[in-house]
Amino acid sequence: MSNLFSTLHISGTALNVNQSAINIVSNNIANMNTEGYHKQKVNLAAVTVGLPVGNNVNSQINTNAGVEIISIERYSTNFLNSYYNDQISEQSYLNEQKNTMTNIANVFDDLEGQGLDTALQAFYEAINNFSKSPNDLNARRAFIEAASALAKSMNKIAKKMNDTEESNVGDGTNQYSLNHSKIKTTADSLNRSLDELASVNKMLANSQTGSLENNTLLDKRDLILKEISQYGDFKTEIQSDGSVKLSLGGIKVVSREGVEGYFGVQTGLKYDEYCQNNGIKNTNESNAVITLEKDGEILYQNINEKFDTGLIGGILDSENSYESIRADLDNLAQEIADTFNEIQTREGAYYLETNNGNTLLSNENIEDYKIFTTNDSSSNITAENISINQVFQEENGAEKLAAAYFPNNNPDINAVGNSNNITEMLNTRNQSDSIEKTYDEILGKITAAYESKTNESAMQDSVVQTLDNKINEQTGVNLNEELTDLIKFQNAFTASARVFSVCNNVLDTLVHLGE
Amino acid sequence: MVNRITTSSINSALIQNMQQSYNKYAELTEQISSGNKINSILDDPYKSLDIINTNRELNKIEIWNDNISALTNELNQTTDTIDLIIEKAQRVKDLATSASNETFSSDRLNSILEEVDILIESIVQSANTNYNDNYIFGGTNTKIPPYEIQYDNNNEIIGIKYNGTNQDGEWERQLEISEGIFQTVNVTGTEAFGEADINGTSSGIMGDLIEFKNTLTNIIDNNGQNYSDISKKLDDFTESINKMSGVNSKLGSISNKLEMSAHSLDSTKLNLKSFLSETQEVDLTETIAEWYSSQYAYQASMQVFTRFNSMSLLNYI
Repeated sequence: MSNLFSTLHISGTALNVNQSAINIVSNNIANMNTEGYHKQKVNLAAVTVGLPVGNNVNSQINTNAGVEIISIERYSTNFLNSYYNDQISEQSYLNEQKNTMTNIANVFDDLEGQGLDTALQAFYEAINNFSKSPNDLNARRAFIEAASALAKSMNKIAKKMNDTEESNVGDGTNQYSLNHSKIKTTADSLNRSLDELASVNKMLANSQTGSLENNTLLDKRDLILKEISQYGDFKTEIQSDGSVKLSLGGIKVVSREGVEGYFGVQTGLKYDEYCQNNGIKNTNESNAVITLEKDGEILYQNINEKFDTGLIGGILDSENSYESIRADLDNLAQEIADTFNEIQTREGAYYLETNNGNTLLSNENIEDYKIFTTNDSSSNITAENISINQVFQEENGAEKLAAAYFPNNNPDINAVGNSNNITEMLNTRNQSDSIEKTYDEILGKITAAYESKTNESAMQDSVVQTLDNKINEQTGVNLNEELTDLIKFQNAFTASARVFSVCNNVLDTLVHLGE
Repeated sequence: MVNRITTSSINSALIQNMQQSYNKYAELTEQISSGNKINSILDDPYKSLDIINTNRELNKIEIWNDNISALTNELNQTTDTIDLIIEKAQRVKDLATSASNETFSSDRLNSILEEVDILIESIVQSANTNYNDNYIFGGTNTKIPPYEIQYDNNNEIIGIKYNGTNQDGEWERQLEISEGIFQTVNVTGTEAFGEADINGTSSGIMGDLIEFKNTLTNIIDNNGQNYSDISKKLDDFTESINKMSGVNSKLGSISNKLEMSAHSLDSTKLNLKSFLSETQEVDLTETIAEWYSSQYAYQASMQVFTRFNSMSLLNYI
């Protein structure tokens, strides 16, 4: 004989269970658009009672004790997570490289006619006009103006490059500029994520003491890990309580106890100083150096190499792109200066003298009359410091341009219409290694790099997008599913209530049986 | 079992597709409104390089075209001047022909001599023609008059000295007319007219003039020369005049060559310009057609999005 109270109890468990199940459905629907939310599912099981059954059918009936929720399962894709996070690191690395090339390409954007190529064209045009009338002071002044504009255009590009670079990786020698650079703000937000992870770790350790999982904390943990993986190739080791050990290239960063070290950014100079003081082989680091520090104490001095991917890796690597383009640009400046200085100051070149009528004078003070010099004390010409020689800006300075050239150095000092030297300058445009070709090579290099980075980054974007969809499909909330569940649980609830009420009626009948 | 699909994954896919259609639509709109397919180097890096190169070539062609017209102008001035001098030399030759007539008295000869003096001065003046502030027959000595009349103590013309650059020196003035090709603009005075320096050589029409004048003076002064010496000079005049005509026809052929260069530059320019417009500018018909279809695509994706979102069990409970 089964016990009526036990039947009543079975309907009671069903009512409780279905009410809780509706609670979970409600939570799923509420979070259907929450980022990082993983759908939760109620796992039901029949309550098991371990009574000896033997040959007694009543005992057998009594082993049925209703329904219970054994766990709230969180739809997760843990097997995908580490792969996904790796892809995210790669994505932000490639994106950053693409950004770098975009920045560089923008500096060189010449289609609007404001750039270096336009200045070069104007310069050659001025040389051509100069060759038409070599003794015309106005043509000479126009030449000097064009040369000066060319130098300034190089300065401008170099400055733009430096500014963009500084805003990204900071000036490796200046802590102030470093503190306002992208690398520093990125490191700061990474540190904030580390703090969040540490606090989630603590909460997990406190709350996930048994075998059941704290689903919302795990959601939060996965979200933070995804965010952290943007910055670099972090390795995660998930503990039994759900907390995470985070490390970067073997260096412990976050443990269950808290943050082991925060990322700092220091200047290359400071690092060099440290190397000298500690007898480490000096690498002459001129760029930003990432450190790991705790409580003002530096634990690891230079961990740049550990960031071989991710946003921080991308920013650190952008340094190379800037450096390489800057070197090319400096070579171009040097080539411009060398080309024209050599022709201007070669033996047999003569300049104009208008004081005693129009005659030619030899360039005796060769060094003084170079067209391009530096505007600082440095002797190497770079894109940043190339400038027109001040001699030409003085009154009558234009005379000092050597238009005439006599191959055997037997000058006719009245030959003021001799423009052999300018013709030679003009002819540099037709050489196979002309300045414009060098410039084209630089542009080609930039555009090719931009194109390939854009493609790589787009490809990686779609990889991440696909993974994202895949994860979302497996872990997200499907409204129809939830609504079906809702109806299912509602029906079960209604049916259980019905059973409960029938049972109640039966009991009632029993109670009134003796009346 | 059918794969699970979640509302948010479908939503994000739909939004992504809609973004793509919108991007395409916005891109085409920008192209049409700006008229350019490529507005920045980032729009199409490789084509941008082509555009930069083409613009540079066009700039060069403009320079060369300018140079060609400057050259042509100066060549015209040069041939005109030489023509003028040929005309005057012809007059001197005519005078010489009449002077070789032995019936002429010394009075007549004297008046011829006076006219010759005037013609010499006028020829020298023409040879000292200044164009664009430069003396065109002085080689590269463009700031001093190439010819200087030498006088003796009695103020009589005894020579015509050339002060320009000599034919064997650095006399050429050049301008670039196409890639690496430099065309000489000028002829030297010695090449066209020769000179008659009292301390140096005597050649060309200048030499003939002075020799003719000397012969005349000698005949008038009874200094051992006679009318037959004048007749001998006539051949020299013919030769010098032919020489000048020769220079002129040489300049004429240069002028023809320049005209041809200008033509070929013009056609290159046309080609480059059409290439540039093909590369950089928008083909309106095509782009507007595309614009309409992208508009439809965008509208369709928006409609799908709204329709999809209204489809759920929610409507049935």
